[in-house]
Amino acid sequence: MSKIKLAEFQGRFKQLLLSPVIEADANDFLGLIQEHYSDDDDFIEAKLRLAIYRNNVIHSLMTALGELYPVVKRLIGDDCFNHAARKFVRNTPPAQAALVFYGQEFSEFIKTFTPCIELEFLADVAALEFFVNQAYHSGDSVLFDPATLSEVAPEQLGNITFSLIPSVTLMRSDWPIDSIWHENLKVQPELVDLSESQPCSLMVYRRDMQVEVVNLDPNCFLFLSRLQQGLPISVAWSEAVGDAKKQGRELPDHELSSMLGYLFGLSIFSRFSLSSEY
Amino acid sequence: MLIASDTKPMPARAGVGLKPQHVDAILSQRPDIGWFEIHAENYMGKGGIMHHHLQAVSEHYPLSIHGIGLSLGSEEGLVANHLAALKQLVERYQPRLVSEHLSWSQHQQVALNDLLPVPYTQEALDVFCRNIDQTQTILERQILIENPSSYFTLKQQDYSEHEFLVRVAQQAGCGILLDVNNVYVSACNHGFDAYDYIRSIPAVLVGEIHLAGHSVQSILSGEVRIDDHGSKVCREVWELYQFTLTHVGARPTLIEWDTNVPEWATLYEQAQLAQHILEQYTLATTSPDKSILVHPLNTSRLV
Repeated sequence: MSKIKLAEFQGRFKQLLLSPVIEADANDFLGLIQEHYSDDDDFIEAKLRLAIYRNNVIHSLMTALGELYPVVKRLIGDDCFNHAARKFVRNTPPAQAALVFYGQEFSEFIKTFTPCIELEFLADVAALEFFVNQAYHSGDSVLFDPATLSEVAPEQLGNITFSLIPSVTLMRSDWPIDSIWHENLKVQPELVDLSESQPCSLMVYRRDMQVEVVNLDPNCFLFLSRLQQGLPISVAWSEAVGDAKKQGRELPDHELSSMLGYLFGLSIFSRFSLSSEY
Repeated sequence: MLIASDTKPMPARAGVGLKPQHVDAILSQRPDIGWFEIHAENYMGKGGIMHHHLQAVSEHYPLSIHGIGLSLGSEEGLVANHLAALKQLVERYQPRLVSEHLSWSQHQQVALNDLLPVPYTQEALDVFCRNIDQTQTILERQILIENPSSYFTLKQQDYSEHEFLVRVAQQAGCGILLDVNNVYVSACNHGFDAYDYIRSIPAVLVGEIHLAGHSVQSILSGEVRIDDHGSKVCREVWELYQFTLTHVGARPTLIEWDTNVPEWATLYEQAQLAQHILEQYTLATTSPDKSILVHPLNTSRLV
């Protein structure tokens, strides 16, 4: 019998490690390793040894997912989470070995995971946890000092664009997911009232080494979203005024300076530059 | 071919795997310990507290970077992004040692997060040599490769594991990270002699030693040993380690403990035991009085 080809061995082994059932695939694979098994016990033993690798792969990835999504895990309980995680890990194994980037698709997955289908906020909580993880590992950055703006001529102030530090992510939800997240990091969480609509406009970022989740004023969220696109202050502001109007809110011009001051206080800008495009 | 490197040598002392939960104790107590090892993949994020802590630790202790995801046994070749991330890490921290495994874990855009066995065939030997050569060329330094634990024996192989390991190291010009616990685990699981395995490894190739705990599970034929890095090093592995030192000489020795991670004091105690054995060995081999030999291990201290 010719020797097993490495590519074939690795392809079949991978399939078997991720497959939900061991039976049919295993016979095939074990035949590749060894031509004959002397008796049934010998064959069962080989399957059990193969199962050690299957367990190692699936359980190590389930553990990693649990560490990435501690709040989702707490909300639905260990049993339900493990059920979801086992299915997710088999369907969506990591593409890269560095697991700090793993699990982005878990939010989409949990949205359609039948046992959790009535927890409509769960997918947004999962998305928030993913952004928290990304912020935790994101690159360090120098911070912009607002005092340096004094070098800019007053007529140029509207042309200023800002670069945000790499950890910043903006997300909206129809549910108070920031409260759900904060409470479920505590040993004894308070109940979060979901009886009324409480949409939130969140910014996830890392302040020095600590990840923060800030519930922004909805208008401030719109303005910051425009600044994040690289628009100069004056353009970002007029776009935000239009965006607010579409959502049925006023954004009076006199709020610009206080809103900028508030954003400067959050330490989320790394540098500014002067745009000549507008 | 051995790649020349101006990296400082790692001291032949005991070190431990760096765990986030121990960083505060390490930085505040500055324990007398030879060095720390990290898993490369845990530091492939760009910044934040993990790097902040690693930077602080690296200012006081030598570092070793140990990869678990490069997949040197992949027939399809290495993932360029992963190798680039490893290079970035190596450039950033300038570790004394860089190591990987005699295994595979990546196949067609899937990372299996385990150290999987390869059949020890001529084809696999060529694959390892090609991938290690690429790694050493990109990193511009020599790496060490570690013998794995394994749970089933593949048939139709051209080499035994130790023959394969030595051939890979000799042909690819890399060194060997001799994991004594893995030798013991695989010897028990497959019924070969762990001492013969150690004897077959040329001392000159060995750049580092690993020690760890493992667990035992019942299986049809009796039991199988699982390399889970979740407990103290067992007595048999300590004894095999003593023998290993007499064969390869004093080498940087790591205590690995990755699951059920204990308090710092427990891990430190394991490192001190390894350090004690290293010192005993060094004393015996450097003393002009040849009647001083390595004392048999006092096993009451070990468990």
